[in-house]
Amino acid sequence: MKRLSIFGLILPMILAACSAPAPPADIVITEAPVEVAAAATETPLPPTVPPTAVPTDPPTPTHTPTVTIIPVTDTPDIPTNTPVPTPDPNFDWTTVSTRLDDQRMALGNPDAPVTIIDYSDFL
Amino acid sequence: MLGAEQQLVERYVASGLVQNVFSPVLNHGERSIVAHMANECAGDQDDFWGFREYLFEEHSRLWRGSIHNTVKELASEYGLDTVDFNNCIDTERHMETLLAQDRIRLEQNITFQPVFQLSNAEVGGFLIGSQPIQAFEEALAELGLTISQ
Repeated sequence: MKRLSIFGLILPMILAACSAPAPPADIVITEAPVEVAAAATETPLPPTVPPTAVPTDPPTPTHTPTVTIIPVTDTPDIPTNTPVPTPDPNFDWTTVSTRLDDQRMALGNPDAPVTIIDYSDFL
Repeated sequence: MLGAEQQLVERYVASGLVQNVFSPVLNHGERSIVAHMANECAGDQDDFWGFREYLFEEHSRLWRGSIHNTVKELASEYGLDTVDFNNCIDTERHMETLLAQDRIRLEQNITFQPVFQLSNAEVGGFLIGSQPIQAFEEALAELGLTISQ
C-alpha cells in the first residue's frame, strides 16, 4: 500500500521528466514548452520524442529514477534461500586425475573414503 | 589384475568411493624405468591412465628388443604425439619423478609386485599379489565400503 502511494506521487513527476503525452505545462517546462503543449493537444506525443532535458541515451536514464525512487527491498536479486549445489551422483570420477604431493598419480575422488595404492610394474 | 582393476574402477572409483593411486615398482632395471617413463610421458599429453592400461595390455612386448624403441612404437600405435613423446623418452624428462616414486615403496620394504594397500582414514591393510575382484570387495567391506549391485 505504501508502495502504491509513493508510486502515485512520484509517477507524474517521472512522466513529466520523460515524454508524457499530456503533462501539465508547469511541470513539463523545457526549453520549448509551447511546442510540447501544442503537440500534446493535437496528437499524443510518440513515446520516443524526448524533451531536450532528457539525456540522449534512453531508456536507461528513464528507468533508473524508477528504481531509486521506488525501492522495493534492500536485498539483492538473488534469493536468500538459494539451495547449495549437491554433488552430482552420476559424476564420473574416473575423469579426475591428480598428481599427488609425492609425485604419484591418482585417479578418482580426492576425498574418497578409501584409497587403494597399487604398487606394480609393467613387467 | 587388469580385470579386477577394471571392475574396481567401474564400481568404486567412478562413483567416488575409492581413489586409486599408482605407485611404480622399478624392479627390472632399465626396462622398468623406461616403461614407467613412457607412462609419465603419456601423462604430459593428458593420457596417463589410458596409456598405462595399454602398457599393461602390451606388457609382453616390453621384454623384447630395445625398450626405448618398443615404447616409442607403442606410443605411436596408441596415438600419442610422437615428437613430444620421443623427446620425453630420449631426455629422460621424468627420471627424478620416477626415482622419487620408487623410493616410496622401498621405504615401505615393498619389493614384490603387485601389492595393494587399501586404507581409509583409520585403518588399512595389504593385498599381496594379483587378486580377483572378490578379494578387493571383501577388503573394502572391512573398510566399511559396500555397494549395492
